[in-house]
Amino acid sequence: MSAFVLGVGQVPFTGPTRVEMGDLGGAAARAAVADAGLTLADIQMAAVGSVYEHPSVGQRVLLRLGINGVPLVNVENACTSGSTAIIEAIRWIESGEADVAIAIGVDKMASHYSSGPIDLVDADDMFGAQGLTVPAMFGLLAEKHMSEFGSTREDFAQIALKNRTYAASNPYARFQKAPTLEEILGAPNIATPLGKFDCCANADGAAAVVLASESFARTHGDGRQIGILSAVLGGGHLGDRLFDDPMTPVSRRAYERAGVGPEDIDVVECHDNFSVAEFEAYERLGFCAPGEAQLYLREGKSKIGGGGAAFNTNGGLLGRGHPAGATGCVQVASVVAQLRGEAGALQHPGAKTALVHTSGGGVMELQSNATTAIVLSR
Amino acid sequence: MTKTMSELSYVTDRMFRPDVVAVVDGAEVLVGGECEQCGDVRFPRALACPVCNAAAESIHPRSLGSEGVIVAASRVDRAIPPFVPPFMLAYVEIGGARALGQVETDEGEPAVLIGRSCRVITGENYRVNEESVHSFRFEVNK
Ligand SMILES: [Zn+2]
Repeated sequence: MSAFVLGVGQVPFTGPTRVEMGDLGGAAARAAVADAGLTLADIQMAAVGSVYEHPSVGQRVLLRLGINGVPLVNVENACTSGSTAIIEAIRWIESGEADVAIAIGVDKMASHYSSGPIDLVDADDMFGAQGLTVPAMFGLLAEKHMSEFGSTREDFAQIALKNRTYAASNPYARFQKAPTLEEILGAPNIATPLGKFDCCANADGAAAVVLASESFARTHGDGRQIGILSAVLGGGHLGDRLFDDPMTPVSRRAYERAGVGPEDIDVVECHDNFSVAEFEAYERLGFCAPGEAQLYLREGKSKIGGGGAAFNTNGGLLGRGHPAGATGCVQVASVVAQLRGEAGALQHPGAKTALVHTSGGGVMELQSNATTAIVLSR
Repeated sequence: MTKTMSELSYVTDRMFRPDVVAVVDGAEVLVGGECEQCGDVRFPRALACPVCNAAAESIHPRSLGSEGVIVAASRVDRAIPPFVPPFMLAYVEIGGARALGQVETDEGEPAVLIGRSCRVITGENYRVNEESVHSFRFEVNK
């Protein structure tokens, strides 16, 4: 184990809120430290991820915690900002620079942007100049899969239904009521075949993860600590993400370093910013062969207790909402609850090993800005 | 043979960029880039070669031709201004590269477009302050 998760915490994800960014981050951090059974005085290093906030986000958050003088790294890495902050904290622990570190992710995306689908494209770039939106990029991916492999519009709707249904049992999710399959299929089209419910909504929110070295975890852990088997950050390639995606090599490297394969993974948090993104993850993260995601889905394997790896068990981005900087941290919080057996009505039986995948984009000429994969085990 | 910048006759009138469409033998062609070090061909011309890291001055404009094949298409019904939906977006394989652009078609659904051949045209892409901004586009061959 390179490091251990001792505590996780978050605030409820919401639409536009008047609560200040620093207060959201501070509340999530206090919750994570309390969950770890530690005090704020134990924190030796902080990494804080956000995308759409002002500079010095981390300093503004730590002011709310009374944490003074600890080394702090602010991280902006698109939607992987939170997971990159976690990897940064892990590296500080692995190198011996810190025994206890906290990764915090925070964004008020719903406040800064309309709460509709995320479609922030730089109109100066070649793709933006053609009218490409982020939903359209994923619509193209879905249309290509349908045409090549016989997946259907309803397959994508089923993923939206699954994740929104799980979110309805997650009190921290932005969306507390699941639509019906008919409502999903009948919703306004955004970019074929994806409708409104196939696209995640922006949210305001924060989440945090407390990490510690093995020696510290052994002496201070309460028995609920979860090991980090591997944590990999990958860069983006110039190219079209329809044709391949860094999530394949990045997840393979994470499996290899962890000494596991997809067959060992019980629960997955993947970056379902669109329903088809979870769908493609079944293939690209190695849970089924290329072209067979619809079979994995239709057999119910990605559901809790479905006989495969359960995906996005507390709602994913589709159900929780997406405060970009917080997403990586809340993904880790979700699988930590699973591995501890604390996921309540959403518990996947026998969860021992988990994968967290996050994709960050924005520079449309790149397949991704950054991609992360973290393998955890109890 | 790779045509150099000066040899290509570019279409620039109202175009959002002056270096992406040229006229060769009377037909509008898409112009991409070819790396002189490693031969990598792509659209748009890269700022540096992603295969061998050659700098921009080693990547030369290259005609990708006027005919391509649609490999993915999606109808966009929600767009960011100044774009006015609905419109069809497609990935087109053309001249050894891939290009994303809008497709002019009267055939409604994306599924019927995949695998079809198309050709490069230019036309209005969007308007800014009543001014028409043009771009390369693709027209599906009948
Ligand atoms: Zn090259």
